[in-house]
This record gives sequence, C-alpha cells and structure tokens, in this order.
Amino acid sequence: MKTNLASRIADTIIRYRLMVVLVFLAILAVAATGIPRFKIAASADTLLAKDNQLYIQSQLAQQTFSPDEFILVAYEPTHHEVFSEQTFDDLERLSEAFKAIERVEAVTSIINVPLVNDAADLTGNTQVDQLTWEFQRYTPETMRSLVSGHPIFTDLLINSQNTATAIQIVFKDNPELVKIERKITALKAEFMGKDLPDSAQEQLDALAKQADPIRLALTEKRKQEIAQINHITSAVAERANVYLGGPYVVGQHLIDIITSDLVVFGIAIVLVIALLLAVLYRRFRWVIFPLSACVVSVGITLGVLGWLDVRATVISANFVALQIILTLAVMIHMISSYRAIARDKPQSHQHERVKAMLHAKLAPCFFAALTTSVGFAALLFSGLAPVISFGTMMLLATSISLLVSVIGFPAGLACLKANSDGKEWGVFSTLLNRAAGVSLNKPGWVLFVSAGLLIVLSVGILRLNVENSFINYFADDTRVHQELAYIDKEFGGTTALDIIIDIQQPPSDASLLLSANSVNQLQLAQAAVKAFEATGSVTSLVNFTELAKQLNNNKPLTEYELSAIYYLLDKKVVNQLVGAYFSEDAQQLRMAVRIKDTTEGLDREQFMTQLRQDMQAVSLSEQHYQLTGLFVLYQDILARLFDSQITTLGLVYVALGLVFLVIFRSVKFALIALVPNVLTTLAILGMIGWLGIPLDIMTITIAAITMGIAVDDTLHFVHSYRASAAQGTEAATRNAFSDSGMAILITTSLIAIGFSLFAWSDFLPSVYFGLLTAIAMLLALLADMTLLPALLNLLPGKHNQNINANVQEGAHHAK
Amino acid sequence: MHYKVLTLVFSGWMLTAVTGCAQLPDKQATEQTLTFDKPTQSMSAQEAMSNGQSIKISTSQGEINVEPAVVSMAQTSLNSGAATGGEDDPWEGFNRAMFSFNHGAYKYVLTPVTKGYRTVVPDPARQSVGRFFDNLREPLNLLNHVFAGEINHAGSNLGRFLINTTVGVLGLFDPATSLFGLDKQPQTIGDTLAAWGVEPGPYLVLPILGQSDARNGVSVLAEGFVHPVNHVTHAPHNYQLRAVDGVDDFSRLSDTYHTLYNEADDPYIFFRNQYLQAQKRDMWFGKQTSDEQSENEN
Repeated sequence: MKTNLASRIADTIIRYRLMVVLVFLAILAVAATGIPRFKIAASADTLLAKDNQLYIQSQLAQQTFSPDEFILVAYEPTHHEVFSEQTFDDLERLSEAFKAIERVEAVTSIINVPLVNDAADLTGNTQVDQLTWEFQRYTPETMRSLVSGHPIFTDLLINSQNTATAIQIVFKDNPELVKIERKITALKAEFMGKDLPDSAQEQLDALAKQADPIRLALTEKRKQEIAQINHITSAVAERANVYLGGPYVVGQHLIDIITSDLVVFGIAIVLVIALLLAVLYRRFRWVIFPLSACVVSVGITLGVLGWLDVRATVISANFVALQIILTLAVMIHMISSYRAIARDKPQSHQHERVKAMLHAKLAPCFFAALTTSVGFAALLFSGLAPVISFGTMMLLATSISLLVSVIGFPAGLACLKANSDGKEWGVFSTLLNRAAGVSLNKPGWVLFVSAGLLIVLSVGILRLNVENSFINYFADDTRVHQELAYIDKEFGGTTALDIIIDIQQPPSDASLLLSANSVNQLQLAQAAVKAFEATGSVTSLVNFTELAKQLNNNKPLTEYELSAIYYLLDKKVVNQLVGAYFSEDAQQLRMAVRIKDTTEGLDREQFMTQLRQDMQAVSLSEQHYQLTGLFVLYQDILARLFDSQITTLGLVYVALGLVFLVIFRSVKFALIALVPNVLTTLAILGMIGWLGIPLDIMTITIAAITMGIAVDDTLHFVHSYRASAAQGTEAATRNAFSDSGMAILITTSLIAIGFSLFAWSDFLPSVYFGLLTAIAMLLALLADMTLLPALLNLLPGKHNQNINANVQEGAHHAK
Repeated sequence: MHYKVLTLVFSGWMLTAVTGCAQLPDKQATEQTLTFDKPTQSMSAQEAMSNGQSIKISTSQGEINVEPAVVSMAQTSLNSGAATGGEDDPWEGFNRAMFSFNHGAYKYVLTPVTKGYRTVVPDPARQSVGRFFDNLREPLNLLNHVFAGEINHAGSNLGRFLINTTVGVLGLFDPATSLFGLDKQPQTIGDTLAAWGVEPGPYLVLPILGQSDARNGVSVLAEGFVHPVNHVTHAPHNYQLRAVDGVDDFSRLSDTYHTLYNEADDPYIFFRNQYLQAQKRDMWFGKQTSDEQSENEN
C-alpha cells in the first residue's frame, strides 16, 4: 500500500471523524435489528454438504421405519426393592402425570406392558391385553419372574441387574413437519449424486422456510417438556434416584450448557480483559476503545449474518471468539503505536498522533487482515458445508473488524483530546529486550531450540484422533453427566446406530413374509453386533422371534408360523409393532442399536471398522446393508472434517505464501514468514495429539484459529522489521521487538488469560477450546518472537541489502 | 410403545394359537427319523440355522454361539418322507380334495354354528363343559402314558381323574391343578406310537379335522372308537385348525382360519407346509425339550 494513500485516508478519517463515528453507530444500530434473527443451527443437517449421501440415506431409512421420539426416565429406588409395591405405586403415579403432558402419545413401563411367560396363560378366554400389573396386581415376586431378563424389555424398561426400572415416554410426531421433511428428502434423494437444478433448489429453500418455525417451536416445546418431567419426578426424589435420558435430552442439555457458557464465560472474559487492559495501560480510554471495537465488530457481523440468514453451526459458532481475538489484536497494535508516538512527542496534537499511528499501522493491519482472509478463504474449497460457512463468516468478520479498528477507532480517537500516556510495563520491555538480544546474538541456537521444540510437538499429529462422546462433553461431577451416564450404562446406551439390511433371500412360497434364511441372517448380524461391549440395546425383528421362542417352549417359530402371526394381526397393529423393524414394501430389515457412549476406551473409528468386518463375517456384503443414524453421521462428519482440516491446511499454506510474496515482494521473506505459521499450526495439532485430547466437532477448527492468530503476529513483526531494516539488522530487530513485539505480547497475554477462564466450564469442549486457543496464542508468540527474528537475522547479507534497498525505496515514498 | 407392547404380547397369544402342537415325540424317534439332505458343511450359516442348528461364528469380539431364530427345516427330511419325494406329500390329490371339502364345511356350517353356541352358552359354562370332557379323557391319557413308559405322567393322570371326578364334581372343575398342582398331561395314541418309534408317515388331510399325518390319522381313528365323545363334542380345533389348538373359542378361531386362508396364495400349500415345518421342528427340538423336562422333574 502506497504511503501517500495511507496519509490521505488518515486525513479523511480525521476530517470527517464525527461523521465516521456516527456512520458506524448507524450501521451498528441497523445491524442490531438483525441480531435477533441470527440463529445457531444445531441439527445434524447443518453439518453436512447438501448432497451428502449418508445423510439422505439416513433420512430415507427414518421414513421407511419411522421410529418414535422418546425420553427414558429411570427410577432407581434407594431404600426399597425394584420389584415392590412402592415402586409400582410410584410408577403408576408418575405415568399418570406424564400422560397429562400435551405432546405425549404413550407412557410405557413394567406396570402397563402385558406380561406372559407361559403359553398356557394364553389359552382359554384370557384377555392378553389385561395381563398387566395394572389389571392383575401381580405380586412383586411374580413381577420379578415375568419381567427379569425379558427379551424385549431388558435394557429398555428394566436394567439387567434389576436395580432400576424405566418409564418410556413416547411423543407424538408433528404431522406437518413430517410431511415437509418427507418432501425435502424425496427431492434430495431424487438428485442424489447429481447437481441440483435451480428449480429444485428453490423448492428446497421454500420447504426449509416452512419447516423452520415448526422446528424452532418444537425445540422450545421439548425444553418445556423436560422441565415438566423433572418437576413431576421430584415427587419421588426422597425414595428414588431419577435420571432422564435419551438423545433429545442430551441435545437439550447441550444447547442449555452452550448457551449458559456463552453468557457466563463471555461476560467473565470481557471483565478479565477489561481488567487486564486497565492494569496494562492504566488509561480509561484504552479499556473502552478495545472493548467497544469488539462489541461494534461482533454486533455488526451478527446483524449482517442475521439479515443474510447465514446460520452458525456448532463449528462456526467459534467465529465470535475468533473475531474478538482478531479485533483485539488490531486494536492493540494501533494503541501501542499511538502510545509510542505519544511518548516520543508528548507535545504533539491529537490529530498528528492519530495520523502518525495510521501511517505506521494502516498498511500492516490491512495486510494482516488480508492474509488472514486468504487463510480463511482457503476453507471455501474444503467442500464441506459447515467449513465453507465458517470460512465465509470469518471473511466477513475479518473485514468488518478491520474497518471498525482502522477507520472507526481512529475517528473516535481523533474526537478526544491528546492525553499524556504512560510507559509500558518494565517487565514486558525487559522480556522483549532479552528476546531481541538472544535472537541477535545466537540466532542459530534460537532457531535450533524453537524449531526443534515446535517440530517435536508437531510429531504428535500422528497421535491425533477424533472421538465424539456426547456424554463425556459434560464434566464427570456434573449432575447432567451422572444422569446421562446412568441411563447410558443401565438402559442400553445413548447414540443411535441403525443397520438397514436388504432382504436377499426371498421366501420359496410367495405367501410367506420372510424366509427363515433372511431372519437367521438378521439373527447372525444381531449376535455379532451384540458381542461388542459398546453396544447397548439392540432391537430388531429377532427380539420378537426370541420372545416367541420363549413362549413356545424354547422352540423357534417356523417361517409359516411367523407369517401366520403377521397376517393374523391387524395391519395397523402390525405397523405399530414391527413397522419400525421391517418394511414389507422396501424389503428391508432394520436393527436399531444404541451405542454406550460411556464405554471405557471406546475407539469409534475402530468400532466402525470392526463392525464392517463382522458384517462381512456373517456374510453380509457392503452392498446389502447400510449403517445410518446419528452415530454414523457424526462419525462421518468428524472424519471428513478432520481430513478437510488437514488437507485445507496445505492449501492455506500455499495461499498464504502467495500473499506474503505479493506483500513482501521477496521470495525469501515470503518463505521466512511462512515458517512460523506452518510450525505453529502443526505444533498445536501435535500438542493435542500428545495430550491425547480427542478432536471433536467443537475443537476441530483449532488449526484454522491458530493460523489466524499466528499470521497476524508474523505480519506485524515482519513489517516492523522491514520498516527499520535500512538501519541494519540489529536496529531492525530491536525496532520489531519494541514496536510490534510489545503489541503481540500484550495481545497474547490478554487473550491467553481471558480464554483460560474456560477451564472452569463444565462443558469439556469449551474447556478444550479455551485452553487450546490460549496455547495457540502462546505458541504463535513463541514462534514469532524466537524463530522469526532468528530466521530474519540468519538471512545472507546480499539479500538483506536488497531488501534494505527495497525498504529504503519504500521509506522514500513515504516522505 | 404402549400399544406396541400390547400387541406384542397379543402376538404371543396368536403364537400359541399358531404353534400349539401338543405332541412331544420321544428322543429316540427324533434321532431315528431326522436327517439333513445335505452335509452341513456345504450350507451357509443361516441355512444351517434354518434347519435348526446352532452356529458358532468368529467375529472381532471372539467366538459367539448363535441359535436359530426361525426355522424352515427345508433341507431336513424325515427318513420315511425322503422316500416319498421332496414334498412329503404323496397323497396330494386326495389331500387337496379333502382340503376343499373341509373349507366348504367350515365356511358354511361350522363357523355359523359355533358362533351361535358362543352366543347362547355363557363363558364359565363353556369352560366347565370343556373340563368335563377333558376329565373323561384322563383314563385314555393314563393308558397311553403307561404304554409309552411315562409312569410319572400316568400317575398324574390317575391323580387328576380321581380328584377331579370327586372334589371337582364329575370333572366340571379342575381342583387337581388349582389345589394339588397336578398339571394336565394329555397323551394321544399318536404320541404313544411316536414313543414306540413309529414314523409320522405322509401328510394327510382328515375330513373335518384337517391337516395331519398317517400316524395321527391312525390315532384319531382308534381314539374315535375308544373315546368317540371327545371329538364330537370338542370344537374341531385340532387339525386343519391346528393353528388354534388349545383355545376354546371357535368363533375367534374360525376368523383366524379364514384370515390365513385369504392371505395365502395357495391356502392348501400354506396349511400343509405350516403343518410339515412345525412337525419337523417339533421333532428336532423335542429332544432338547424332553431332556430339559426330565431334568426339571428330577
């Protein structure tokens, strides 16, 4: 950027300072009306590319088998037996209360399911639907013998140790939403693997718009329902532990805790950063300006995103934190520069100071924003919807932050009077001086140590893995964790995994429903699935044939008997009974599995691999079954995200190198500037690997975040270095350290301390996110304060002279 | 889910209705008469299971034993049946004719009549009538048990007859079960023949009584002489309506029969194969069950 351009911009900003401030406030006011429209979309489809086949398959399977939405309420008596009158009374009372909740379709527990274990019970004129505790008032001992080890109710209504029982609350579908979702899936399925024509896309958008308010209302409703259920169960709290579980409860807890984290830690971080700013600068305005810049930047960005209806996903929700970091960085570079000018020329007029500040910092700040933007723009090529939206958001956020900090802030500053400004803290200056000295005197040694350290850290990348345990997101000692973990362990797991099997061997007689071979194929597959420690409840048609076998003196049904039962039952009843597990039209069988999220040392990727091998072992080949459901979807998303993060990193490096080349107009400088960035991003990934922290959806963007931070530091440092390169290596180094180094050090301290507050969160992804961001800041600081100057100083003289000449030329222009 | 579970257990009722084959063949008979058409090695795992075998599979989690869920016994044949061809139905022409005749009889005579009976006679009375005839049968059960060498069961039959005839007012009530814990131990001549190793023989449709086999045909004929009142007074639930064995409510049973008849592409094949598969299944698994029972008794 030409320096006279910078001067003209500076003059314009100062001249129209009031207007600029008013314009920004006006923009903020307009944008603020869009903030309520801003939404975080938490559903799985936001994480997927539009034509993700796995997702469409899952949706199709969902429609074929339409399983119920339910919540499990576990009841663990503290002082009495599970099979006791007290339990039955409590279950009865709780069930009555649950039934009164509006959206509840049915409430099932051991007291209202019909129980038979002897075929003789069924002869004569017994009404089977009255073989329930409610009708028969069975004794506790009879109940124990009837319920314990039941092939369908174990892990669902009774745990296998018989220490707790559960009530299953089944909710009604929203018919309108089901209809819309069917249309959406049909459209997507039609164009699966092809390009979506515009007309279809328009239809999809229109449908999504219809579905939206219904989904929102449903989320709100679910929240109320969970509160109602908790209120109802408090009545038995003194004699039993009550736990709530099921996928919807996990989802609700996630939303709750993320929201409360945002509020609590958002405020705490702002307060701590304000405090640190106050301590570091001891000036009121240096607290107000940076914080206002953050508020204005984030406010405008949220508003714009709200108006454009771009939704944050679980992944891109981090953009707020990142934008605050970037805004603070620019602000502190500007402030540091201003303060240096104020100290050098205490008599100068405020406008002169602002102008000088802009003169010195407009270019590097612009370039820093540019490189950061390029880094994020590379994410647009990742091919993954959530990553692309994250990239887009960051592009927008970076631009807005830049405008606010380099135009809005100086305008605001120009409105104030010149103040005397204090010195920077001695500790910082000493530290920076030492660092400068070391990198001047022993550049080779510094290079060796810091590069060595970063490389050793980077090796940890090989140990990186992704895991996705929803329950382990919550800290062990929280009530939420205990509740979810209890249900997970005792009542058949949490995360759904569906195995959809195509029927390959049609029966020999067309009158038959299924061939014995097909059912036995399912039996084999189910046995293989159940053998895994991590699988909780596993339900399919063979649970029913197992019950039939028990009732039939332990002899299996014949295929004719199975078909006869199917035909004898009312079609509607059949659909309710086995519709979730068998589709006659689609000729598919479904095995519904819940994975125990709390399984010790569960490696989900390995689990999937072994599961596929085992399906092969029971002679189910790849093309004859599909794995779907939340478990598979998240596993797939994670794997893709992980791959894309790693592959886009390469792309980001290349893009950055090119931008550096344009900015520095020197291959050497471009390469040198690239080194700390590459090493920092690799080192943070490696560090995560060494620490054994599994990457998940919340923390997987850490590499991109680190890059954003490191690039900023590098650019400012190199820019300062080159500004005084004409005066020789030593002067250049010292100037870089005192000018940019101070700002980098302050920014790092602020952010690192502020974000470490997340360590107190009960939500582990927040903890990791906060700590990893802090570590990323420190690593970037390390790389840019040691490796970078060492590399710059190790440059051969010839190149140095060339660059000096360049810079002198630049300096000449400036004059 | 509530409804699902209801219906689930309701299906249990249907199940007994469909599978209720009362004969328990002797283990000797099982060993003698059942063979696989092909060696097991050449079958896939699920085929072996469909023929009643438990299978060991090795997965990533180690070896697992898997029991059959549903059987067809397609590749299993009775020794005698094997000689008569794959279908075990050498008398198909006769059987089909008889099947059609029975169907007409059910549709136009028996169903309307039993519906009337049910409407007129109250439920407890129908139960007592059933018990009265059951009691009359006890001496025959006793004899059959004695001939089959099942002395314990014969003792039960004697006890039941004495108690129910006296305390139970000529068998109208069943205090032997409710007060003395002596459960019913019915035994037909067919069971006794099976115990002696007589093979079931070809498939046979009996007039009115429906699907059966040669051995049972003999049994029914003989019992008809020995104990004619039994078959006359009981609803004809045992044979073509084997599906509804054990349930004393013919109007519901006839619905069952007609539903299955209408669902099947070829009702004759449907009822025949249902009978034959169940017969082979019962023989194959009867061994295990009778082993367990004798363990329980000891």
